[in-house]
Amino acid sequence: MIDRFGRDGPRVPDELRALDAELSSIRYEERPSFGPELEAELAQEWGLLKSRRRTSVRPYAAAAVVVLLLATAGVPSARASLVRLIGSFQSDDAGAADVQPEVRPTEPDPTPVVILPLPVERTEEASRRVTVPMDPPSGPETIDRTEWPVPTMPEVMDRARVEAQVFRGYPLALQRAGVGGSVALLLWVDSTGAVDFVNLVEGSGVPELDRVALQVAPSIRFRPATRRGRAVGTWVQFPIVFRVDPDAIDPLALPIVEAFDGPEVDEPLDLTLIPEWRGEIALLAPVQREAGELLEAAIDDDDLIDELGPIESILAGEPPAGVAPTQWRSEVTLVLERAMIRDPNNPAPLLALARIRRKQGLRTEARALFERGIQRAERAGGSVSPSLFAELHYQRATLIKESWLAHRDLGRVSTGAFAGVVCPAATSTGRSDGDFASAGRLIVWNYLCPAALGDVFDSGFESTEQRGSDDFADMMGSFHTAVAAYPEHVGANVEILLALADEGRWSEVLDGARRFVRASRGHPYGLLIGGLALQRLARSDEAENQFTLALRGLPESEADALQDVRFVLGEDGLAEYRRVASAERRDWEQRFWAPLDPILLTAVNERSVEHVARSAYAHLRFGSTDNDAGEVWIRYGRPRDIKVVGRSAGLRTEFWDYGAGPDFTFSRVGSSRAMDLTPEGRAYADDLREVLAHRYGASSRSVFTLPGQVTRFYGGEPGALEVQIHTEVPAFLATSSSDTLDLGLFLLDAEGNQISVVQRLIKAEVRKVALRAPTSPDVASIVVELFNRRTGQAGAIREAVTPLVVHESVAVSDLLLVRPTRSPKEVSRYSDWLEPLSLVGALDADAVGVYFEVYETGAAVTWYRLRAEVVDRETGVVTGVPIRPAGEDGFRPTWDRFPAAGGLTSEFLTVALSDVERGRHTLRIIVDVPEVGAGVVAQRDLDRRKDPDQDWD
Amino acid sequence: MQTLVRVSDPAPRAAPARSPEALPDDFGTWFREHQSAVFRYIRFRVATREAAEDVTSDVFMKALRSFDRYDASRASPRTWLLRIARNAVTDYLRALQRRGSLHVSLDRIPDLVANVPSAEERVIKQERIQRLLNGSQMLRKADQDILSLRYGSGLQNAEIAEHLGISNNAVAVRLHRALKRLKDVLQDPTEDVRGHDR
Repeated sequence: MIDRFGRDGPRVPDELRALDAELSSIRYEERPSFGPELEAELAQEWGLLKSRRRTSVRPYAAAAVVVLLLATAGVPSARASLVRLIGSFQSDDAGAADVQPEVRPTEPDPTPVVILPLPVERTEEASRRVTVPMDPPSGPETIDRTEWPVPTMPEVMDRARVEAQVFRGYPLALQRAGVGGSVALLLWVDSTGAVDFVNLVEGSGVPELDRVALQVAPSIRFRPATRRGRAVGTWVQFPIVFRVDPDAIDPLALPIVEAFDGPEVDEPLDLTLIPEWRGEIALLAPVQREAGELLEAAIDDDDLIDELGPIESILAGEPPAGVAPTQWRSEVTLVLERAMIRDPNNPAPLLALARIRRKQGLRTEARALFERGIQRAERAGGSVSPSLFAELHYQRATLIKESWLAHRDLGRVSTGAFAGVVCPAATSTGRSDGDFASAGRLIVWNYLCPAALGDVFDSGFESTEQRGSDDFADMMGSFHTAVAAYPEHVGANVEILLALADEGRWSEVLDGARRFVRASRGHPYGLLIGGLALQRLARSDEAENQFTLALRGLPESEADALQDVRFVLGEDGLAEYRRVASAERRDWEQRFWAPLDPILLTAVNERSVEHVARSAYAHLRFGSTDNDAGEVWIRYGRPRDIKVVGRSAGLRTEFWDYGAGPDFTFSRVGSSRAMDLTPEGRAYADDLREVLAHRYGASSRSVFTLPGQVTRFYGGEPGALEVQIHTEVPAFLATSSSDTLDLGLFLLDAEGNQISVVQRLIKAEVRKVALRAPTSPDVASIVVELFNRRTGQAGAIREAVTPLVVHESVAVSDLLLVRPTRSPKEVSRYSDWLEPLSLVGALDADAVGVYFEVYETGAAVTWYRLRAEVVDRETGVVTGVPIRPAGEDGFRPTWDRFPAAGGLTSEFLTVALSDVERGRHTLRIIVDVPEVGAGVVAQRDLDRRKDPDQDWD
Repeated sequence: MQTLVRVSDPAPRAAPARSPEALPDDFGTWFREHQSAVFRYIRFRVATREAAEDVTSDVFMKALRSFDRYDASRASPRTWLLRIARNAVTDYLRALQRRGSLHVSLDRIPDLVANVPSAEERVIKQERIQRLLNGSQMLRKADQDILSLRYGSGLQNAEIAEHLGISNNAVAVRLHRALKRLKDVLQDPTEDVRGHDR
């Protein structure tokens, strides 16, 4: 590739080489019909030119030919010009024979026959007769006259298979009821013959049939279109017809229509109804129909409409396949302009013209046309339906949206903000853009010194664009008008609801989504946003219902994308997921989410619901889930803050702040909603995936860590193990003593299956809670939950348990940390003085009480010795700590004990912690049995802090 | 039970009836030979396929009208057509600027794809191409021109040299600089690389 820059050219660095390779790999997929169309247009133009010349220029030019021939013989360049000139005349006449044969016989031929004998039919021989004697220089004449193969359109490769596939999807009930129809699809068939985009052009009127067609279309294989013998991508119209077989109709299945004579009732909300306008259609079907009719009325010339193509094409500003686009656009523009004058109150011509302008990239003009269309629609009053009026407003708003996207959050950071902030790792200060830091510099600081960049942003970020808010108000105004006029408008509803969601106004989002769902009779997007709002309002069970209905109504590929868990898996999980057959992925996903259920007390898995909620937002906000922005959003939820630097019209850099650690950095073209992680951002996201593939996060359904202790003791019966829970209702769950809390104790095996569950209701007030239940050695983890159904808030203790420490002769229970005794007098009966600590994580006292039990399990043990030590979990340093047995005065290093009769001895020690420093430790109680040469150890983590912060505050 | 489903053939619109043979002989050949290079050159510099088609049409219309002024001793047909194309693109962009719509969203450019196998990679690639093209639009015109000739029309250095009337080595140097500036823009879009020709 290096020779591209020349042998003597500059040495090529690798990154330029990569850029060169990348640019060279771009392919340009032309419409196969464009070349032939343009050629035909040119031929037509040539015909016109010729006829003009024939009448005016040509006699003079012909005379000039004679003169030139005489004067310039031997001057190659002049001769070459002459060749062109002569050639053009010759072709002129050949063209005339094609274009206007009736004129030719009557027209005198002024060209001297001696110089240019004019063939009636142009042949290779004839053209050589003209060009060869002139001895042209190498150039156009020497080009081989290649005979290009005729362009071909795509062909279906396996028709029988496609028919069988469509037939399988044709619901039997519809066949029996005699319901058929035709679905018009527009497919992009790429150069490999695969279908890449599917548009529903016209539905059958039966949503089930449309759905079958949309589902089958992507799997149809074509022989690709060819142009000049090369396979190319192209759009094709592709109708699928569901034809009713009269023999298959079951008369009993036909609906019986009865006269309606009861009172009028509201139409029931049928959430299973699939909207017929789903998919990638630009317009709602009713709007399309109406606008088409209005446009026909405005043009008022059926022949003209027939000539220019179907009315849908004119309305969409899209030339029909096989029609020359330039000519078509200029003709359609003329027709539309005439229609605007003829029918001044009709907005349809403006709508169509605005679309043409928009396709041509003339946004300002397009916006002005939409606005005029709106004025006309208002003027027309009742003759324009609300749906069309809404569509005009929606289209206007989407144009403004591009500008809003370009200005949103935009700002800059003055270089002064870096003064006094230190980032030793950033060796270069980076480029600056005048007095402001370049995006590159901010990115470097972000990944090297994130905290320092936080300070820089805090002090130096200034918003540069006020226009964003004006655009926003303007845009939202139009979206609201669209919805007010036509409550089921999908695009406008989605935009409004997302804007409310961005502000966290979830109750309003929920209300709005419900109105939209009702108006649209169950549009999946309404259900998705409703589900998102419910999840944010901590009503996951209802959210799950909404999502289930939404996923049922969406096309399969879209529903699959919303449930896809690839983004939240680590490398191993991802490898496993990729091995799973696609038909089994739903099951795999369920198994993946099951152990992650954050609140076992509820029937719903809040975490999998949260996943769909985030995917739904990413899908609607970023256009799909399968992009960088979607990936980060699904993995980590909404960022705390977004800052953008750059220029509105150019590439911008977005900083997504998730709190501690670097921000994710994206780059985005001004008006586009598609975002790429910057290379550093991509590397960071990939690294983070291994550490933290998914953050359930506090913005979703939060489960707080409860303070408390889980301990296990053997009961009176041999082998009868019991678990005891000591915890406390924290203030945030204690809403009112008239509320109740669900308290649950879940004993799970190693696979996360529930072995047993204990549930009860308690008052929602701050209080200590104790719970006991039988357990077994199979239990691998224990979960305790408190759940406030009214607020949806929950707290939990999740503890993995290991088998109790058992020696062949002796066993020890778990340790229960309790309030230390202050004097021997406090000890009378242990049930009176045992006061379990609930806040084990926040020990600040100089001593802690420990209660545990020692069991004889085998050969008689006549005595054992107790001692305690504290292990620093970070350094591994072990420190022996003195103990004070209950009822005794003074601390000592060890305490010798004689077991009680019956094989169960209760032990209660106070452990001195005055020498234990702040940090993360483990308290170990060692039971030495010298007689049998055994030492048994029971332990519990014990974190020591001076300023205990509650996680749940 | 008989099959109730009929899958129709794709139904393209009938091609225009006019025969392309009506064009002047050489012009028809040039058109078939160079139309792709011209289209790709233009497509590299304008935002949408529709706009590229319009400008391409314009180029060939202009070429047809001034066909008789073509001088083979001064330039090859391709060079001549690309020169017309360069002027047409400049005119088009100027007209856009006058209308205040220079920046055109490149949200969807499904006609520009890289040679990648899967639909997923294709989408990723499209977004990258979008960035590349947006980046190149921030360069000075001379840079845009040489990049379009190289990566749009697919010309070799010698052909570019002929087109621009400069030496092969000068092409190599200019191409190198243009790529370097494009790289800078992609890395730091705020950097001003337009230089003095604006």
